[in-house]
Amino acid sequence: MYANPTKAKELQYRAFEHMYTPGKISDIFDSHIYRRLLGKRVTIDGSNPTHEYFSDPRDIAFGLSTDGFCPFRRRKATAWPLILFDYNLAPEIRFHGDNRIDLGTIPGPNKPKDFNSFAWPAFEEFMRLQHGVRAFDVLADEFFLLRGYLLLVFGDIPAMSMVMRMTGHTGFSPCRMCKILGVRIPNSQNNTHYVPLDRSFHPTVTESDSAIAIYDPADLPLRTEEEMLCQAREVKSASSKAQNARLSRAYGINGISIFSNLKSLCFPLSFPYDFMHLIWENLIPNLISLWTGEFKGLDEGVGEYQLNPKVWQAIGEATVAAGSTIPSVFGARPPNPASHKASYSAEAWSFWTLYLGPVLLRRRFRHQRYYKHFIQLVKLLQMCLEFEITTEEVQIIRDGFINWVENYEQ
Amino acid sequence: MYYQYSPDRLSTCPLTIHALLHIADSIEASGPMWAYWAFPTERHCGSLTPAIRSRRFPFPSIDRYLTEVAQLRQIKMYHRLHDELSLEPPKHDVAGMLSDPGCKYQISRRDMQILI
Repeated sequence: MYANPTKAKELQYRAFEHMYTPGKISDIFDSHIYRRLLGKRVTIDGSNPTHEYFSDPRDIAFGLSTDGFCPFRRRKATAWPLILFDYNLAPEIRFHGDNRIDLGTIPGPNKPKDFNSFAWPAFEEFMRLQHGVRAFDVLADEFFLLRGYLLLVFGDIPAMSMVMRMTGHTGFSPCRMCKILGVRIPNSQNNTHYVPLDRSFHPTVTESDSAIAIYDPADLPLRTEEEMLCQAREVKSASSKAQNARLSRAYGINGISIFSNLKSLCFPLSFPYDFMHLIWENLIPNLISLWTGEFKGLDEGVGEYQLNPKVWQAIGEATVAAGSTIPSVFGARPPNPASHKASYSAEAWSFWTLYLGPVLLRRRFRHQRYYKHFIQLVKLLQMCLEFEITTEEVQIIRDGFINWVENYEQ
Repeated sequence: MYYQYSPDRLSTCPLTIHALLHIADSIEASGPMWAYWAFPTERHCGSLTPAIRSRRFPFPSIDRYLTEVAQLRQIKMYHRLHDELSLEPPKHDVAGMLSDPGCKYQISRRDMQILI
């Protein structure tokens, strides 16, 4: 890459173009996981080489992404591509097809059982990149040691559970960021564990003294790297199969991830939740299912959030009609959410929620508080999507989501 | 409003609701949401689907495609042939392109785009 003058110049973004301003977050180089490495010696297998993280402007920051995808519509086979993104490039070009580094695709038809074994070749190369690989820099006209560090790993929740060797989002300890415990629906076949903050009326809490009744959203029991590694080792060295199952259920951890050997990564912070799946493919479609009474066969209980089917149909038609007057730069024409919900992509949900929903839903709920609650969410999402986020805004987002989730549970 | 603290309504509280509480921390710890969302990943997956040329051996088919793309990219980069080997319509004249000052029927750039 550094042998090509155009590319070599583009790669200078991290060191020379991005400016760090305290109190502002505009790229991953303003984040804790990057800044904590600056000035720190690289440690590899316990030995201390002389160089520091990102001390050379040519050192590359990498982000790894993976996701399960179905190549065929009618078969269940999945493949798991591993893609590397080069964060030294400017944000507007780093995700372009030409700048993607395809490490390969883990073949199906089944989900990889032992992800570590598939990630081994990539892991080896990351280790080599930490030491440095001889490369030619055309701008300086010299040979140098090219180094790269893996900073981030991202993808949807099942993919991340696979990479981090965790039990996943339906488990007893499902969250990769904190140690919140899940509870099951009483007297039900459903094996999924759910994670409300307040479970004080749940039998597991009413029948036991030790179970936590209400979690404080401002002070969740966050996981730390050290603790996660300890737990992973404990699970791995369990004396029996039963013991192993018991521990992995309690900790939510299945084993030791191969990436825990890369000290440039920080567990669990280097594995952030992915906004696209979280919001556009889960939260919004779920809210709409609730409003239309299609959510897992639930009625509205003591709430009043369901929309009259005719109202929802009219909203769907209004959405389609809006398509003709929306400039194409905003994205594809939105389909009808009432009749063609399945054809909604994440991008379409994003546009609908941010721009159409607030207008079309106004005065459509039987009780205004549901509309207000939705608008509060839209405001928070808008803020999350800004290119530059200040520390004050992060605090607003934090407080806002706490308030939103608490109201949601009420 | 939705869960109403009722154990029977637990299914309204999946992990995705809880994960909202970690967004603010994530922005501070790992940067803005757009820096690590899955849109580019999904786009990559989308480009793999047409690469499958064999219904019997889909996975070797994907591997072959990825290898070839990577090789082409390396050649472009190493030999500085980005414009010559580009599959996009050219931004400026490239030697050997379908146009010659002597030719009566020159292909305009617009036609070229349509042709490609």
